Amino acid sequence: MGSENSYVASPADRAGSEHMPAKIPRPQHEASDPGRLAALLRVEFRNVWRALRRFGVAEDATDDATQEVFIILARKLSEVAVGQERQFLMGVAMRVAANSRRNSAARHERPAGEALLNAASQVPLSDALLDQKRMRELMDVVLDSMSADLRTAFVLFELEGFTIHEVARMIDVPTGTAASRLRRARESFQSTVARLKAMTPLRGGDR
Amino acid sequence: MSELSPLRRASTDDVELALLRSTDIDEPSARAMARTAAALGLGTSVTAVSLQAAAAAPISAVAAPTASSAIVISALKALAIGIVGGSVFSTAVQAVFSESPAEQQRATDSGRVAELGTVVRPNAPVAADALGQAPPPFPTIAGGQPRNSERISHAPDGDPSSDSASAMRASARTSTLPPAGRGASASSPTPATVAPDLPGSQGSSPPASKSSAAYQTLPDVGAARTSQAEPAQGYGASPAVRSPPNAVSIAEEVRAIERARQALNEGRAREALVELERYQSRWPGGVFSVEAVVLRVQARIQLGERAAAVREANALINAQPNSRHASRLRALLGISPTK
Repeated sequence: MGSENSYVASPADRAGSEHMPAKIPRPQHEASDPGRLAALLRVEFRNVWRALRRFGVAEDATDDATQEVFIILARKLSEVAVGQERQFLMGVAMRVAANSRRNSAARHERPAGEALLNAASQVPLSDALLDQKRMRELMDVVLDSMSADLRTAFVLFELEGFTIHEVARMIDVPTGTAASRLRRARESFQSTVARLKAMTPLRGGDR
Repeated sequence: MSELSPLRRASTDDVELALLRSTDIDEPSARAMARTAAALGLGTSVTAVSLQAAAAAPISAVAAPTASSAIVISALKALAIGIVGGSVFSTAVQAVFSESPAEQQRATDSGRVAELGTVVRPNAPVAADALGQAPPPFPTIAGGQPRNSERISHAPDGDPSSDSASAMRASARTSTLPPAGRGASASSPTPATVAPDLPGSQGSSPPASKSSAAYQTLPDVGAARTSQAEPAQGYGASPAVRSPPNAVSIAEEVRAIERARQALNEGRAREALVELERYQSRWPGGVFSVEAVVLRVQARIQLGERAAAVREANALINAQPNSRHASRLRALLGISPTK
């Protein structure tokens, strides 16, 4: 709450919701410089890559998507205020992931229910619990079953570790709205998990 | 706002937790970063440093802390906060009252470093005030951790003005900070590789380069969260903590475990054990070590070697008495949780 008060919450400042923000407050004395870009790449590359995966970019497309995010950053670096780089990167990542998901969906459309059934039938849950990679595949299916708005809130809060206030700033909505989306995302997550369990009940002794 | 604690802390459902934790496996390949660096015209020095840091991660994570060393580290961090917080404050005060523009610039840079180093609590925006800027919106967040305290604990990280604090920071990071953060700030090669690219990096207080150098002090959020949220030793360590970001290696581990499980499912318990031995010798402390233990116990049970199964299970149960795996092992062996 307090952090909200201390943050200059102009829409343009919320690069998280702007792919190419029209107006960003000029940073104090920053110019685009390769050192800053290199430092950002080194520190944030992993975070951006992981966020893109979780926003729904296919694993084999994530490298390219991450590159795209950093190329956008490089173009806009002089406009990104110091201290807001991560917010900017996450905002760009959201947009890039949305595009990627759209392209991917256009290539192979498949109803979420079918995907879930498919995923569940391939892997008995009791076995999947022992295999993080399989659980990760199931997690993709679970996240895919959420709407884009809910998924974004869920990923930012539950997987990326941002606070709800930070999530609200990044997606440019009031905190209450972000909290509401998160609540609905959780409901969606939990109901999908329940469906998964119903499809492939845990065997006795697994719990 | 108890309803807004992360599910990883709030949920008690095994499947939900397993799904959430499964995302820890998300790791970019080293090549991906190199490609991006090349596309940005940054050369390979950036990735070289990161790779060193990533390679160092599992070592320090495995060597990391028991509860007592974590307490020591916390104490060191608290001490560092005191020292560096005082330093930042006094620097900012100097910036405000200094008459010399040069001094103001130095103080401003120092303040900015502190800001970038994940500073600023909303009600203590010393550096930000000195700059006349809003504090950063969310400098460093560790999921699963109290976020505000995390910010505070990292507050001194960006301040290069205190050598003793730097030393303590470095020692604390050995166990608590993630690859990138550790590699970036606690190891000497980093400034050497990045600094030459920076405009005005010579001299005592180059404004533009400060920001870059300062950014290096930011810890890697995701890894920090992982390394602090999960026990970083033995059976308890999470894959993300222990394994370097090497997708090929992880895939091989998955295949090895899969072979063992397949053998077990087909009643070839002896073969499964051999496969698991091979796994353990090839990847001691591997990503799926815990799963390997569970499978080994299952194989022993299948072979009728109950005493060996109990022995192996006990090692894990004692290490992680409340874990899902411990519950599973107890169920397999038919022992009660209180035993």
